[in-house]
Amino acid sequence: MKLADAPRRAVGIAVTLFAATALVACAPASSTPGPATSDEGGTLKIGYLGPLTGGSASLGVPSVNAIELAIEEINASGELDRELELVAVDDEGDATKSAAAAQRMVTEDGVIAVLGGPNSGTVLANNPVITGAGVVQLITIAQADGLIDPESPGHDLTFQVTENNTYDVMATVQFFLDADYDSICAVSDTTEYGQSGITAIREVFGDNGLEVAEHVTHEVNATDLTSQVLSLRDADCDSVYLYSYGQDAAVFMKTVNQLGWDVDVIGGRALNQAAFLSIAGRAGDGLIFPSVIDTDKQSAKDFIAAYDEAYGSDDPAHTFSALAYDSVHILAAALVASEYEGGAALAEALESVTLEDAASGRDGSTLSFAAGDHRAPSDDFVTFWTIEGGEYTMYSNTIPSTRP
Amino acid sequence: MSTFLQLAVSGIALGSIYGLIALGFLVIYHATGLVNFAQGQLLMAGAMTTYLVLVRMGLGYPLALFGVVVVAIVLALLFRYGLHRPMVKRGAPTTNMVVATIAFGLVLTALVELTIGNTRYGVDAVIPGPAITIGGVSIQTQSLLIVVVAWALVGAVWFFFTKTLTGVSLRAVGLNRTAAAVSGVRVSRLITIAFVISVLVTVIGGMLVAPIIGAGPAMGLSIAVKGFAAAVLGGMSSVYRGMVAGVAIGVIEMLSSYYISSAWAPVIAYAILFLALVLMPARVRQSGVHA
Amino acid sequence: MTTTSLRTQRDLARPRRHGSRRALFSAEIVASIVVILLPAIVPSAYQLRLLQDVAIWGVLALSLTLVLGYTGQISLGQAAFYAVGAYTAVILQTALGVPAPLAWIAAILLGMALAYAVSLPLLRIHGHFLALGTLALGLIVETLLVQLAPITGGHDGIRIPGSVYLGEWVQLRFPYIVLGVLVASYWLVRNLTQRSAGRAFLALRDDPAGAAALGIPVARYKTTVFMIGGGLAATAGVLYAHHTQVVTPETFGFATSIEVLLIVVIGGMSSRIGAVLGAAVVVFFPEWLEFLQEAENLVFGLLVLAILLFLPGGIVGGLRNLVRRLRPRRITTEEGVS
Repeated sequence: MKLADAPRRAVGIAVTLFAATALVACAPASSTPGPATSDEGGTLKIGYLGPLTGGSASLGVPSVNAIELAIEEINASGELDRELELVAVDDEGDATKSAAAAQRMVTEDGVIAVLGGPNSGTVLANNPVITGAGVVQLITIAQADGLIDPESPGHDLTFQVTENNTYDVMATVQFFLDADYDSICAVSDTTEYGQSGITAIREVFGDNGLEVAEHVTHEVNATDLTSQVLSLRDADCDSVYLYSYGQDAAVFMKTVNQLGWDVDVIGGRALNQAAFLSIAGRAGDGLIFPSVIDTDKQSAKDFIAAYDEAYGSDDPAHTFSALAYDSVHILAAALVASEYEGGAALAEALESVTLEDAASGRDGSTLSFAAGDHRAPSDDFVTFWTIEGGEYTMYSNTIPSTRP
Repeated sequence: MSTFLQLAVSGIALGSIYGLIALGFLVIYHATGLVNFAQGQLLMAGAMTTYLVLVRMGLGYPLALFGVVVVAIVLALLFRYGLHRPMVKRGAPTTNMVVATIAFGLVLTALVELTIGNTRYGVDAVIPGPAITIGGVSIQTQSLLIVVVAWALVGAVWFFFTKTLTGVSLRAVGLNRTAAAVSGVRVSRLITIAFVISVLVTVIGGMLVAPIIGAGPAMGLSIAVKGFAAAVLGGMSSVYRGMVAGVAIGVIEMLSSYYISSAWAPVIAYAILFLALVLMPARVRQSGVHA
Repeated sequence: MTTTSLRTQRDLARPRRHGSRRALFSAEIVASIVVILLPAIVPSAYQLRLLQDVAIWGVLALSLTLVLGYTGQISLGQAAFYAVGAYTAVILQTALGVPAPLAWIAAILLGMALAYAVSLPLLRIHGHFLALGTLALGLIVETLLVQLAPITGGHDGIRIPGSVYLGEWVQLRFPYIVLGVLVASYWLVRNLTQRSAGRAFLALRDDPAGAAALGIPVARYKTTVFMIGGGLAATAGVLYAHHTQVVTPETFGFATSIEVLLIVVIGGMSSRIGAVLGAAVVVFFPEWLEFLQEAENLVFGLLVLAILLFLPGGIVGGLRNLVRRLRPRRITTEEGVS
């Protein structure tokens, strides 16, 4: 049997190889489509790609809610000649799914822009797909510093609305400088937030003549942080920079309380997550952390009222929802300027508009992009919040901050 | 010195949770030879039920306990009669059983996300109040409760398996199903009892853990892996060994995180599991019965 | 001659008539050519992307099919070799300037080497314990990818834009490469399992003691199969890296190992075509179920449970049962045809 099969097998394989080579040499695979152009007078589709289920859903869902809210308001006010429509897809925080969904959004759905989710892993994967199709991407709340890479081909179509990690750390470092601590320690988790956070911390501290005396890490969703707290306590730290996700930061604070350790704790933006307050309870009292909401600002108050009425309290600190809300408004302004064209025209338009009464940012700050600098927040954007009596409260809206 | 003691005490509290998972794991394993990869999600189910009853419905802990027991029985019966028995009847291979437990866990997680929420929620401790501190070493009241309940459950299960007729019959089923059946033991009913005990123990573990780390869909995964490690390290044999192994893992985790490096502690824990599996004597491995 | 034999879902050494073997062979050749030529006829970039996703999952699933379906070793850690393949290829090209073909070969070899190294301790254990052991391995690799940030880039990942590292010409034709590798992997697994070695693997899976008694070098075969499986998974990793143009740690975690296991079980455990079919289901079903919005995960999980209950041999097993029931059988006994 084998002898008779062998020549057949050889022929079969040879034919396959020949056909494959011939075709591979001749035809490129399906060409990438050009940028989506809106049908004349029709609705403009805006895509949202982020985690609506899974570990980061508590960041993604408020974002989508806020985007829906913004779109409703814009459509109702008639400030655009066209209707906006939301295409929201859950990528579950998975890079492969995110890239595939992005391809569908830009090819089949014909979106004019994509608002991107909180995970830098998925943004890194879907960015080449989105910008490769000539579509603009606005990153709403992912804070990683390196998301807009000047060397990657799509960087002129990529925009970051939130302030990045370095911005937050630079604003926060003043607390450490003012208080003149003897020994500053840091704790971070192993997610992208914690990892990029500690990198930013070391850099900014170095620029300011401070150093991190002791640094401990832990996995996200940790069960116990006793050894981490003890390591810092026994290193005689008098302050701790807490750069972990809400649930783990809560466990950290409860452990600090349990051990009776009296130490100043200053946190990163993740303490805005509902999980922190819910789990920490009174153990979170007195913590200070950066936020983007200024409760003295009228536009912020309006936004908070509207959001809470529509969606309840799934984002008690309103940080994540406000940034997504503003992303839509700045996009809408740019669409007017670009006369509803997408692609490079929209990118240029984004670089020309300024959002002054945004829901996020201190009173007086603005969101705007410039050529070569696609990061929105102006100087003095960040506010600081704290927890008092188990509630989120604004601590200060007068601490200056500068964009890195 | 007080640091070392504190680490040890916290390690024991942490390890008791692992031991409880190992308990749930071992009960089913000894009765049916099944490795239940959904232990983490069962823990989560207990925590979420506690959250629902305590926080969303505003009822107290006694009702929460009742709710948790009901949920445990429902899940156990669902798993036993909806999945395990039908698959065994069709002669499903080991892999399919493994995947079935994994898929069951996925469905549980999806259900919780869909109906309750996607973030982590705080739950009040059973005995609210400050931590107990003795001579520089402190422990949260909830952690103390975990240790007490976990060991009590292990003791109860041990008693069940050695001193009651049902329990001994269950062991017989695990050792040699055919012989047990021939001796008049009602095998199917006993396996169901094993499932109920296993799920109940795990779900109660979830209720105990929720006040410490919060209740959320993703909470059980790393605990479950260490629970498996505890069972394996204990030689897959008696539930006491699993508990002791769990405490050992908890203490080693604490000590290595403090004295060696917090960054590498997880790798150390997984490496321990790996080594335990590889170095476990073959006769112990093969003593497991298959469904 | 056809003989009836006891059909269990683990049975695979189906004796076939000489004619039907040839027919099957021709069908496989034709299918291979069609698959490789697909990028030329698929209309949209989106479908093409999904096709490549299916192919990459398919190669990864084939690695598990080989290890699990043919030799019965449950691996919950294929993502570890997947990661080694992807990261090695990327690091060699971006940090060390190694040209792509060399980097790919090095990545695959490294995957095989890791599989070999790990198999020495691991293959002494079986069943559930092997599952746990490979799980531990996967978790260790997942943690290392994040910890060794100076090398792996941690969560920032490492970008590998195709136009820079592969060149425009190759980048445009990359889908052909992906599908070509899928077809090649299919044939590799096919040839491995059709020969006498293949029957030895099956004997190994179903009755190791008996196999050893027959003089089959059990340990050596198990290790070889595990190694090849590691190499295939690494290959899938290389494809993934260039397809997505970035590598980040979350792709290579426990969830991926689970997904591969689901693919293999949905498609059919001992079936090469099952690996590809399962991959297609896993990629396309969420798209079809998208109208369910948040309930999609739940429905998918329930679907898997249903398949486990009612189609224990996966889709391919179900199809085979169907075909068997529809096709009349001839029973040959020693006395002649009856």
